[in-house]
This record gives sequence, C-alpha cells and structure tokens, in this order.
Amino acid sequence: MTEHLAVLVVAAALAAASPASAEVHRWIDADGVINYSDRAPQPSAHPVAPAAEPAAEPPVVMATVAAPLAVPAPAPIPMPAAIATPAEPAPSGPVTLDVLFELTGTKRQLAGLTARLAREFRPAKGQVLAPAQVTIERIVARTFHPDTVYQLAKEEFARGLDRAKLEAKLRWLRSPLGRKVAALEIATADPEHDRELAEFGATVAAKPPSERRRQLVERLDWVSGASDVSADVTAALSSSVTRAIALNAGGGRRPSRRQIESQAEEVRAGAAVTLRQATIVSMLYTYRTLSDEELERYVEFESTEVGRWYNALLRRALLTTLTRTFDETAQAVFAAVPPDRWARATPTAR
Amino acid sequence: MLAAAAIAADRPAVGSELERAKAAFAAGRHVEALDAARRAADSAPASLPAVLLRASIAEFMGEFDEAATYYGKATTLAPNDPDVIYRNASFAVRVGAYDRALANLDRLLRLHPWPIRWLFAWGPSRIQPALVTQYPLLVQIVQAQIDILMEKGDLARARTLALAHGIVQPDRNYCNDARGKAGQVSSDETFHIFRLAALAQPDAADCIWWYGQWLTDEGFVRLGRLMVAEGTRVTPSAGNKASGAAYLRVRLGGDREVSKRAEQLFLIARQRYLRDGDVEGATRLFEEAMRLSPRFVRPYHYRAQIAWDGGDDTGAVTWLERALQVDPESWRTHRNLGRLLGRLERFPAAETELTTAVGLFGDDAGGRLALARVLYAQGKYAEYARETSAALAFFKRYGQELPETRDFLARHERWGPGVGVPPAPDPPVIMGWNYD
Repeated sequence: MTEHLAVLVVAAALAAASPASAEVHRWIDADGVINYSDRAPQPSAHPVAPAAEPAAEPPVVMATVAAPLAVPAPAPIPMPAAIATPAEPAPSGPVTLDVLFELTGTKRQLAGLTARLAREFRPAKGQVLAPAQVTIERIVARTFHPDTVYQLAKEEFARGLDRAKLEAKLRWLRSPLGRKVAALEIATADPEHDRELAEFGATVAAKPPSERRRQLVERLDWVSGASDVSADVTAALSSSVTRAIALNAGGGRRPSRRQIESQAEEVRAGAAVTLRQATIVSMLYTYRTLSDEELERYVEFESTEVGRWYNALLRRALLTTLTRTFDETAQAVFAAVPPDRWARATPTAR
Repeated sequence: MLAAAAIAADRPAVGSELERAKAAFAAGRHVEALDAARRAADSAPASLPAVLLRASIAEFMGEFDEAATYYGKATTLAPNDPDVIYRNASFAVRVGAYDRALANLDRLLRLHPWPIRWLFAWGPSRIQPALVTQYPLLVQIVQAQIDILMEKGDLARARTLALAHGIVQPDRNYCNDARGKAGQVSSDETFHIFRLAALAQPDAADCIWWYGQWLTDEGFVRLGRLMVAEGTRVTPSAGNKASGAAYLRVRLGGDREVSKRAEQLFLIARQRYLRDGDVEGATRLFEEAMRLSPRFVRPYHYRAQIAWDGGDDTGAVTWLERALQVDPESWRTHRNLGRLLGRLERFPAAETELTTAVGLFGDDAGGRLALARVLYAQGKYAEYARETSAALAFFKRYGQELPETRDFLARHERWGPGVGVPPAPDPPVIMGWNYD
C-alpha cells in the first residue's frame, strides 16, 4: 500500500460519486449514536433539544453524508506524464523516513488525505452559528495540520522499522517502474483528478477492463489492503464522532464502548463492499497507462515479504495516526460546540 | 387529632410520589422509580400500597434486604391480604427461602373455604381445571409449588403435582410442541413450553436437556444445571451422556455452588447494566453475587465487561483471569479472555486462550474464527486456513454462509497473505452456548 494512500482517498471519493453506490444516510439518534443506513432516519431518530443559544435553524445535530469521505470539487486534470517524478534520495548515507516518504509520495498523499478527512468535521452551511463555525475551523486547522499528522504517522511507522526490508523497498522505488508507479499514484492523489476519475468510473461498466487487468487490480487491492484501510478509516471516524458526541451531549444514556465498537463494525461492514468496488475502479484509473506486464511486476513486488511488510506497517501507522486525530478533533469540536448546537440537516443522498 | 391531620395532609404527597414511582417504573426509569417509592413509603409508613410498592420495586432492583424489610412491614400492616402473602411467597422463592415460601403458600391456601382446600388437595385431576378457573389464586399456588419442587431437584413430585392439578395432560406430546416452536416464539413462551415438556415427559431426554440449555443461556444456571443433569441421566446414548457431563463441567461450573440469591442478583445486575446503564448499581450487585458464591464466574465476566466499557483494558483482563482462578475449565471465560486479548493485540496469549476454548467445546465455530484471526495476525496461515475452513463448514450445516469470511479465505488461498486480518463474526448457532 506504499503509494495507495492516493487510492484510498480517491476510492472513497469515487464511492460517493459512483452511480453504483447506494444512498447512504448518516444521522445521530437520541442516544448520540451515529447511524449509517441506506434509508433515511425515522422522525423519532432525531432528538429535538432546546437550543443553547438563539438560532434561526431548529436545534439538532450533524450533517449527513453520502459516503465516508466527501466528494471534492472537480477541476482540470494534468496528464500523468506532465507530473514530476518523485525526488531521488542521496545514493549513499542513512536513509531517513523523510526521504522515503518523499520518494514514495506518502507525504504529499497524506496531506491530501487529511485535507479531505478534515472536511468531515466541518459543519455544512447554516448548521452552526458563525462564531461556532470559526471555532470549529480553528480546531480542525490545528488537529489536521499536515505537518502534525505527518509527524505522527512517521513516528508510528518508525516503531516497526526494519532496515534490511527498508533497503529492499528503496531499491524497488529507485527502479524505473517503481518511480513510474509512484508518479502515477502521486498524480491521482491530487484532488484535481477527481472529476476525471468519476468520469472514468462511469465508463467502466460500458467498457470493462480485460479479465487479466481486473484480476491484477483485485490482487493489488488484496496485497496492499487499500480498500480494507478505507473501511477501517471509515469505522474509526464513526467511533470517534460517536464517542465525542456521547461525552458532550447533555443528559440521556450514553452509548457504551461495546455499543460504539459494535456500531463501528457495522459501519465498516456496510461500507466494505462499496469501497472495494470503488478501489478497483480507482486502481484501474490510476494505473491505466501501465501495461499489463508492468502492473503484474508491480503486483509481484507488493506480494513479496518486503511489499507486505511495508504495506502492513504503513497501514498500522496510518490507522493509529488517523484514529488519534479523529479522537482529538471530535472531542475538541463537540466540547466547544455541543451536539445540541448543531442544526439538523435533512438527510440527503448523493 | 394532630396525627390524623398530619396523615391527611400527607396523603396528596404520598399519592403523587406513588404515581411518580409507578410512572417512572412503567417508563423504564427504574432507579428513579425506586427513589420515589422510598419517599412514598417513608412519608406514609402505614400506607400498604406505598410499602408494598417499595418492596416490589426493591425486589425488582435486586435490593433484597430492603425488599425483605418492606414485605415484612406489609405483612404487619395486612397479615391476611392475599396479595401480600403471595408476594412474600414469590420473593421467598426468588431468594431460595423455600420453606418460608411454602409456609406462605399454605397460608394463602388456608384463606380458601375448607371444601375447596380439600378438593384442591385431594380431588380428582378431572375437576381441577374447573376448580382453578373458579379460584384463580389456586393456579398461582400450584405453579409456585411446582417451581419450588423443580428448583429443589424433586422433579418426580413436581410432575405428580402438575398432573394432579391438570397443569399438564398425560397424553399430550409437549416435547413435539417445544421442538416446533423453539426459536420462533418469545423467550417467555419458550420457557413455558419447555417447562411443560420437562414436566409432562420424564423420558424426553432431548427436551429436558434443551430446557436446561435454554435456561443456561437465560442465566438461570441452577435450574439449568438440574435439567441438563436430568437429561443426561435419562438419555440412553453414551455419547450424549458424555456431552451432557462436559456441558455441566465447562458451561455450568461443574459442582461449584451457586446460591439462588447469587444467581438472582446476577440476573438483575445484568439487567441493570445492559438495560438501564446503571453501572454503580450493577457493580454493587455483581460484587455481592461474587461474595455469596465466589466460584460463580458469570459476575466476573460482567465486571470485566464494565471495566472494558469504561476503558480499563487491564482491569478487564484481570477480572477474567480471576474468573479462571475460580473456574479453570470455564469455556466462556477462556473465550472471552481470548477475544479480549486479541483485541489488545496480545496475540500469543489470545491464541492460548482461544485454543483452550475450542478444545473445551469443539463446536464453538465463533471461537474458532476468533482463533483463526489471531493465528492470521501472527502469520500462522496454514492454521488460520484450517480453523476457518472447519468453522465455515460448521456454520454451513446450520444454514449460515458468512460470505465475508469465506471471501477472505478464498482471496488468501488464491493470492497469499493480505495486509488486513480476517473477519471473525460470531453468530449464535447452538442454544445453550450463546449468552451469559
């Protein structure tokens, strides 16, 4: 999954945009539990509490989203060939993680990922009053600061570092194919590609890839754990927000840790299939300029012990970092602006 | 005169507290209901409704000393009130004071005219249905007597009583009814049909056994143990006898004593925790149950659950380890500990516990999947595949496909190890092994 942060991001975006994906509604019930469903919540699911401050909107909770991550604004897309290849590390001397993550594009991709995830905590227009909006913006800007998140991820990654495997990974990254793959993945991480990706996704059903291509991409998803991580991130986000709402909601019974985790498992299971489909499409898009032989060589490398080690370590670092960031953000946001000061948004499907 | 005026002045307040208690209880706000009932009884100690309501809600909440005190006060206020006598009897059954319960039932019977008492005691069974229709209190008396006999392990006398009073008909196959309805009707109804089967058909080993396993899942471990033991005794199959003996040992604590009071405290504490979210009250009752029956493992499991829910992972592990000290062969404890250690990524220790769990109960397919998961996390892929295949085959026999688990295994077998860990669902399959 070295470079699959990009795929993770765009897969989620694609899941939101894909016509194949079902409507997903998110709402918060009377117990402060976040619910995801393909059906709109029943009226009784919305507790209507007195507003803590004068508000034009009826007092309530949070926005609804159609998928784990929001769809970014479309923009023109540069072709992969126009994108600079990652920087080459110095040929000798100890390799630092900064160099590694520069080479793989992880740092840039992580910045794109956190920017998208941060949007999940930003209220929709009119959901909170202007001062609360400013407060939330400040919190999110601090907790999701790219440098902070990157530093945390790097520290987590360093815990499982294996020098020999790292060297092997670097040799791959310095190879022509390794550099080509990294460049493609960095390019896809750019939100500017989202519209083209969505258009590409819409054509896949009409122009399906060859069986070999599809098999390669499915295998790549398996060995990299890309869609699996997306589902884990979605579940972690659900848990963090539910926990923070429970801690900051006034009155009523709080959901237990067991209930929150059980709900997160349901969220994960519910999102998994859609995310896997979206990941496949996203990978087909990302590697569309690679030949089958090149893609196969890449998949073979990812299937080696070194490839699996790196992907597992990055997955762990990413999940730990994002879970911590979600927890900190959600707690700070709902402590500053309690749930009953968020206006209820009508569930909408995208 | 002044006292009478004071009582008169108190009446509206008492009435409102009583209504508040009843309303809170009906709305499921049980702690609030008990508080209101206490205030009502304190402000009007001579009010039978207030005293009886306090006793009843205290009993419901597992505050048994308080309940005993207020049932006693109610008896003082209205010694011959049938409702008071019956509630005293029922409470005595709940806490295992069977002699006191029988004495109260006898008092209740003596409130009836002597010819009715005579007919009830000695009349032919064919007149009993008409008799109890005319005097419905008699049904409650005989049902309570049957419960007491069953709980005391005297199934033969319980059956005689049930037949004599027309509770069961000699020529009806209740076991077939139970087989047809189990799993399709409410919990109360399941209890009812299995109970009748156990009473009516002494040779129906399977039904008696299922009744015991159903009781075990529900938490009635004492009667569950008696019924499984009876089913095991009655069955002619050597294999079933061995299974029954194993069930008693690994699922019901073997011969470890569980007092009736401890069992009931546990049942109520579980409700207070899971249903009411009353952590403090539940914790106190669980600990009282542990004090009364220190080798009864279920309260330890819930103390572990409470610790874990509160974010105290170490505390949760410690409670389960303490449970294993008092019952080293408790399948459920090994399983819970294994799953918890797996969540905490203490994989080798989790593997040990889960291996023990599936060793104690070979059909524990959910435990096998949990074991497969920790094996996978340690890179023991061949063992993972073996355990998962076994579990999937087992679930399939019961009509459960588990597509995510199957898909994960298929991809693993096709492409080698992936980055994630396999899903480990735990759907209930075999009655008697699902809940604590």
